[in-house]
Amino acid sequence: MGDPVTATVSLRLDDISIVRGDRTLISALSIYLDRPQVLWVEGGNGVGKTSLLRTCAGLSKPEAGQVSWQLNEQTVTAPEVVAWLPTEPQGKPTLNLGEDATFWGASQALETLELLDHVKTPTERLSTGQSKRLALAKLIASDKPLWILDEPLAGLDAEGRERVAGLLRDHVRRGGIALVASHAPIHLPEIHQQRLRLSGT
Amino acid sequence: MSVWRKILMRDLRLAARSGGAWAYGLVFMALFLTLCAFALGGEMSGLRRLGVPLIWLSVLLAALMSVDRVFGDDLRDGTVEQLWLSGTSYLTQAAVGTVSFGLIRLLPLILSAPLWSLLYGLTAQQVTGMIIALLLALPGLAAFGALAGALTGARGKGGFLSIFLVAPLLAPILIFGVMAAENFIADGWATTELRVLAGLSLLSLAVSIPASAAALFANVE
Repeated sequence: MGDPVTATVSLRLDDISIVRGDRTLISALSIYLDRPQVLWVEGGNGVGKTSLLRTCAGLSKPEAGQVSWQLNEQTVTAPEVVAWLPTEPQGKPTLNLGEDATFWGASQALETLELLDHVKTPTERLSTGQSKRLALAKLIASDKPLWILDEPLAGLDAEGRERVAGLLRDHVRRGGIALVASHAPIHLPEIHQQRLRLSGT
Repeated sequence: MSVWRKILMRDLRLAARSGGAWAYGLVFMALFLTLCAFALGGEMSGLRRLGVPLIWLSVLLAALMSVDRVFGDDLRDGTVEQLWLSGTSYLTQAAVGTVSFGLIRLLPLILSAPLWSLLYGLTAQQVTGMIIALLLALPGLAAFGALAGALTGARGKGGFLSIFLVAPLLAPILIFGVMAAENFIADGWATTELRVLAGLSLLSLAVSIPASAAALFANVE
C-alpha cells in the first residue's frame, strides 16, 4: 500500500445492454475509461446502478455488447484487475474480525482502517461502520487497480465518508480507476472525476 | 493448494462454531434407525437382514438433508463472488466444496455406522463390508450432495426441488452399495459391486463438479 500502481488499467464497455426480467435497464451504453479517475454512477433506486457495476466487475454478463478489461494494453480477465465492494458487505457471522481478515489476506490493512482494537469481535457484532471498514480493508489488501464500489458511503458518518474519500484519492493518485455508485457523491479536489447519470428507460 | 487448505480450515472452524449443526445428520440417523428397529418388532433375525439397507438409507437421507449447507451461506454473503474475483475459479470452488461436504458432513455419518450396527446385531463381516462400501461411495455422495447444494443456491427454499432432482442420481449408488456390503461376506475384496461402486463415485465426481461450477456461476449472476 502506498506504492504507486505502475500498471495502467482501462475498462471498456461496448454497446452493452442490461436486462432484468422483462425490463431493459440499460441499452447501448459505451464507456471507455483509460486514465486514473473516479466515475460516479448516479441515479435513483432501481435504475440499474448495481446491475451495471456487477457487469463491469465481470460478475454478470450483459444481455448484449461486451465488457473488456486491459492491463498494460493487454486484455485480461476481470479477476486480474477488479476489486468489488457490495452494498452490504458481510463477514462470516461466527468468525471474528481478525480471522475473517486473515482469510482474505487483509490482516495487514487492519491498522490503516483502525480496526486493530476489534480483532477479537465476531463479525456479526460489528457496527455498520466497522463492517464497512473491514470490507474496505479487504479491498485495499486485494491490491487491484480497478475498484468497483456499490454505495460505499451509505450508512457512514462524516468521519467515515472522509475516510472513503481519502482512500479513493490515494487510489486514483496511484494510477487506479474507481467506479462508484452513490446517491450523494462527494467532491474530491485535485483528481479527475466524471459522472454518469442513469435515468432508466 | 493453499486456497484448498484455507477454505477447508475455514469450513472446519465454521462447523466447530455452528452450535453442533454438523451433527444434525447423526441425530437424524439415530432417530431413524431406532424407530425402524422398534417398527420391525425387535426380532433379531429380521433386524440382522435389514440392518445394512436401513443404515445405507439413513446415510443417504441424512446427506440429502444437509445439502443446502454446502454453498448456501457462501452464495448469500457474497463469498463465492469475492473468491472468484480473488482468482479462485468456480471449478476450484466446486471441488473444494465437494471435499469439504464429504469430510465434514458425510464422513462422521459413515464412521458412526458401526455404532448403529450394534442395534441391528450385524456380524463383524457385515459391518466391515458396509463400511468399505460406504467409504467407496463417499466421493459420489459428496459430489451429488454438492451439486444439489449448488443448484439450491442462496435461496434455501428451492431445497426440496434440488433434493428431488438429485435423489434419483443416488439410486445406483444405493443399489450397488447395499449389494456390495452383502456380497463382501462371501467374496471379500473380489466383490464386483465394490468396483462398480468405485467407478460410480469417480463418474459422479467427473459429472458433478463441472455441473456445480456452472450452477455457482448461474447463482452469482
